[in-house]
Order: sequence, then C-alpha cells, then structure tokens
Amino acid sequence: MTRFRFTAERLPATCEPLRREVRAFLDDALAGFPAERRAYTWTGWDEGFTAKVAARGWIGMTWPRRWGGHERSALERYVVLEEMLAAGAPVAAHWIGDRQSGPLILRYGTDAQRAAILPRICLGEAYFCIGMSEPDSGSDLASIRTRAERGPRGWRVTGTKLWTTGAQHCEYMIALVRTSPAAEKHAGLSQFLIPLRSPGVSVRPIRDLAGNEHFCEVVFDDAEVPADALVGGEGNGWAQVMAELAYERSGPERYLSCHPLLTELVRARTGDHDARARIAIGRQVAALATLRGMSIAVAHLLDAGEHPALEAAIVKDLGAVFEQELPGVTQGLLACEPCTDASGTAVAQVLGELVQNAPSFSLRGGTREILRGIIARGLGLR
Amino acid sequence: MSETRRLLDDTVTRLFAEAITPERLLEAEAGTWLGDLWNAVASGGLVTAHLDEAAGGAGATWHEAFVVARACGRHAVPLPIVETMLAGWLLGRAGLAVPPGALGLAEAPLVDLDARAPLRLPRVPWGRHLRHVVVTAPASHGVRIGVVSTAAAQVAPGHNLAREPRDTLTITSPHVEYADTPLPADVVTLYGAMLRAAQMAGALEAILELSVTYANERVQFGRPIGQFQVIQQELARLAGLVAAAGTAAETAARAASEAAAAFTGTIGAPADPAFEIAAAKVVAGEAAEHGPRIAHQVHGAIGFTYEHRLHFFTRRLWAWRAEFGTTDVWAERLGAAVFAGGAERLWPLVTDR
Repeated sequence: MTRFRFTAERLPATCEPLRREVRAFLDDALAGFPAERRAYTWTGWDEGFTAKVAARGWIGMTWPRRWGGHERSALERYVVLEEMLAAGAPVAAHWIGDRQSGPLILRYGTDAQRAAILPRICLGEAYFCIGMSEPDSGSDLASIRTRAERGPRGWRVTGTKLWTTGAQHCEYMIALVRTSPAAEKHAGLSQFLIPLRSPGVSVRPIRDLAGNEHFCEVVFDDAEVPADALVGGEGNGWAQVMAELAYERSGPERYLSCHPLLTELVRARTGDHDARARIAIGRQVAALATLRGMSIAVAHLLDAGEHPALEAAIVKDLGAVFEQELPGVTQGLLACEPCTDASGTAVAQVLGELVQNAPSFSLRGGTREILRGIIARGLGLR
Repeated sequence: MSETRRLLDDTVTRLFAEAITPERLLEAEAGTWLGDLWNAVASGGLVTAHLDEAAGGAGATWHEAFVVARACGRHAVPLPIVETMLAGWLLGRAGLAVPPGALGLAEAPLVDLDARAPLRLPRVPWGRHLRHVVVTAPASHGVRIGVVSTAAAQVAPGHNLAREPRDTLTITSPHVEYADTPLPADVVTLYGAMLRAAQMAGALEAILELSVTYANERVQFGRPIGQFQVIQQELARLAGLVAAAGTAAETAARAASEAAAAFTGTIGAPADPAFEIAAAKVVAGEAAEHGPRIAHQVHGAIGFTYEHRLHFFTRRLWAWRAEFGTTDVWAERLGAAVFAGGAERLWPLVTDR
C-alpha cells in the first residue's frame, strides 16, 4: 500500500570530511561575495569560480578516471552540491554539464565523444546548455519541430530552441530534435551534441522580468552539424530525455534556490522575541529538513540503479512550493521594501531578487502541472 | 529495511487489515473495549518489541517499532497501542517493572509524586479501560517516571474528535512507584509527538488510498472523476503531503533510535532527536491541515457522512495534530532554536545530524 519509496536515509558518515573540506573551500573562495549575488545560486555564472571547483576535483566527481572523472560516489557528489547551493555559490557555468550533459554522454555517447568532451567538463572548460523547449512546444515537449536531416557531411539542423539557459556563454548544446518527421510523435526524436559557435547558429539572450539575461533563443538556420554529433540511438531521444529528468528533478537545487534568503532572514532577526517569526521560521526549517531527507532518499534510489521518476517529481513539486513560499514569508516578517539597488539591507536585496525569480521555480525543468500529471499517473489515475 | 522491521510490518499489516473493519470501529466509537484485538496485539509482541529483553521485549529500535505506530494510523486502530509502547519504554528506562495490559500516559507537572497528594491526570488516552498509568513529572536531574494503579481512580469520561477516550482520572490517595532517570522532563510530549506523527503519516496514506480509489470509481459527466485534470492535480498535491509526512515521521523515529542514553530534548544538541521530532510534528500537522480538505473535496458529500469510513481517518488527523503539541507549538520551539543558533548555524543544524 505504501506507494512511495521515500525511506529515512542519510548520507554516509564517510562524506563528513568532504563536507568540511567544501565548507572551508567556500569560506575562502566566497569571502566577500555579497548576499544579493548568492541569491542567484545555480543561475549565477562565474567561470573563475568554476575553474576553482574543477581544480578541487568536484566536477564530474562520479565519472570514470579514464574520462577525467574522479570515481567518487553519487552521495559524495550530493554533499558537494548541497554545500555549494546552501552557500549561494555561483555554479551555473558547470552545473548543466556536470548534472546532465556529461552523464548523458557517459551513458549514451561514443568513446570518441566521451574522450573529446568529458575531460574538458571536468576541467571546467566546456559549458553546456539544454535545447528542449521551442516557441510552440513547452510542456508538450514531444511536439517539437526543430529537425535534423542527413546532409553530405553529417546533419543539417533547422529550427528554434527557446528558454535555453546560459546559451550565450556555452560551447555546446545538447538538443532534442526530430530526425524522422513521419514517425509517431514520441518516436523519431534524437539528441545531438551541437557546437554553438558554428555557422548557421545564432544565439539571442532574452531579458527576463527582473532585467537579467539568463535564458536565450537559439536559432538553427540550416546549420551543419558533424555526423558524429548524434548522441545515443537515432530515434531514441525521448527515452534518453526521460531518463535524464529523474536526475534533474530531485537534486538539492530543487529546494535550496531560496536558501540564501532564509539565511539572511535568520541573520536579520537573530535574537528577536517575536513568536510569529519563530513559528514561521520553524515551519520553513521543518520543511527544509524534510525535503532534504526526501531528496537524499531519491539520491539513494538513483545510486542503487532504480528509476524513481515518481519520487523525483514529488521532490520537485514540493520543493518549488517551498521555495516560492519563502519570499512571501520573509516579506510578512520584515517591514522593509524589497529592492535590487544598494539602498536596502542585505536581506531586502536578496528578497528583491528572489521575489522576481520565484515564478520560474515551478516552470523550469517541468511545470508544476506536468509534474503533478506524472504524480497522478504514478498514483494510478487516468 | 531491517529484518525485525519487515517482520513487524508484515505482522501488523496482516493483523489490522483483517481485524479492523468499519463495524469494529463503530463498536469502539460506541465505547466498547476491543479486548480480543488487544489480546492479539499483545500476544504478538507488538507493544513490547522495542523493550529490552529483560523487560519482556525483543530489543527492537524505535525506527523498527515505527512501522507499528504507522500501521495504527493507517488502519485507525482504536486501541492505546502507541501509548502502551511509550509507557513501557519509560518504565524500562526507569528500571521499573512493566505491568501487563494496556498502559496510560500522563504528565503531571509540579506534582511531587512522592507525597500521596491527590493526583489529577487529565485526558488520559483510554483511561477508563486501564489498570495502570505511567506518570511523569520534572525531576531535579531529568524526569521522574512513576506508575500508578487506577483501581481507586474516579473517571470523568471524555473523548477526542475521533471518539477515542480521553478520560480525566482523579486518584485521591495514590501510591506511586517511581524512579528518576536522565531523560527530558517533557519526554512524554516529545516521544508522544514522534508517535503521533507516525500515526498521522499512516492515516494520511489511508486517505490518499481512499481518495484515489474513489476517484477511479466515481463516474460523473460520463467518466471517472479521476480522469479530470483538476482532480488529478489535487490528488498529486495530497500525495506530496503524504510523502513528506511519512519521510519526516520515519526520520524522527530513526533519530529516536540513535538518541544518546541521556539526552535533554535540546534542538541541535548532538545525538538528540528533538530536531527531527519537532520537524515531523510540524510537517505532519501541516499535512493534516491540507490533506483532509483535499480528500473530502474529492469524495464529495458521501465522504461527509458517518456511513463512509473516510472520517475515521480525517477526524483522527484533526485530533492528533493537536495532541502532544500543536503544529505551531513545535514550529515555535524549532524556530527559537534556529534564532538562538544564528544564521551561521542554520545550515549545519539541518545537515550535521
């Protein structure tokens, strides 16, 4: 009758020396890094910081040494990620490659692709973005129209990818495109490793509501892509993308996006004797600890080779609700105006950033409605 | 899952799935003591598994015994099983003999259990059916744990929203056998909250199960209502609440298993389960606030009748969320510890456990 495989797991005690090492590193590397920049967490782009993380061996941690990796456990990697996010470290430059593109290439790529790409990700040199959404295909991802056709020297790609985070900085996109137009909707899709600095590819950053340029439109106009750019099987793209999503949906980034705000809120009210504040903070910390436990339970399932798509969807859905609540809770406790200029306190500035960013938390990586549809199917509805 | 835990889980699931019928629940609500069921539970060793072997137990941990408490909620078992589990454990810790039969629990603040002054024990679970109550009071070092016979008790009957007896017992000239032990003065509230959270996690699983089944069966507008996205989205939300409460409750039980022999109930202290227990009661309390609303909305009018069994679970959730500390009481205790530690200790409080 128990439908979910959330059990009370913990990270092994052997991870604790590593945790101390990461904390010491962050104290040093982020000394003087202002709170309002910590607010960006995993959307903060800083190639210098990524180089330092790479030098510590914390990118591609679980991958084979043969491909530049460090052969550490997935749970050790979890410790590094959660410490980085809790501190608000600017990890965006290596985030996608480490979390998603590298593992995809490791699992489905050829040895030539692995040799060419993975060591460079580990060195903090190759940055990735994910080409999934299109102008007419958001939640209905399988309706994408960007197509790749065989040409004389490989493939020719035509179409538009949208909301592609970090594309303006990235060398590569892993794109989901249609290779067989006649096939049934979910078949005929394939994934390609596309060098973005190629003729026929144009990248246009899109200003978001907060005035930041995190995501982009990427247009492929008959762009020539080499024959060996196909990742995995031709027509196997949908299955590959679905496998990626369990990793994408259950990690610590799904509940720590607002952690710098929680930290600043506690700092701003330390010593306060207001019962309302204590209750509000207590509820937030209870939710935080529980989400962390659920996320770690999924990490254990992934580590054991299971496929916890249902559990991952639950973590992401609950995590987004939690992250989106905190700006409102903070505003309710503080008599200050959220701002993004230097006129306000640290907590007011972090609040200013996160109030504006919060709507994206239940859109990126699968909307709330799509996730709840997955959960409903897992419950046996439909 | 440990072998003991699996064995306990299988045993309680088999026993309760068969024995707890709506008819038995109605009998219990009408005031009948389900003695046959109690005997089956007791003879199966379910209320004593977590006691030391010297005290007649099997030496199981709280983490293992968690499955018994969760099953009590999942099946709305109308017996003082978790109370007896906790009372027996307290006596064991105090080095006192564990009397046979169901046991009550009561906190008696500021009462000197040694002076044979009248003892008034408010809202003792199933008080009228018990022969013994375990009473705690603050002691100079830790907690004073006593056991008192109810033979001469006056009973003022009462019950909670789930019609579980909550009787006030007055014993005019009590003889209390007691001992002091280094546990928190409010250990009954603390571990009571841990066990209620486990029961709440079970009851939440039950309302999810009932709601999904109903949504797949109930046809309106020519199709099962579970095919409507709006119903699916609400049930997915319920699933999230259920999963969170279950994880938090199990984590609290595990923390209790790993508690130091003499802990103080201080949030953030090493080998102290107070953090996890506070989090569990808060998360379960929030789920008990929102979860029943969704379950009742999905069930429509039929779920609001006494005839339908949904209320056996939702009334328990409403009652239990207030017992052994409300959601806000626990949230405030947690929040106070967070503020006391300050911003730099916030993240370590969550991770260094």
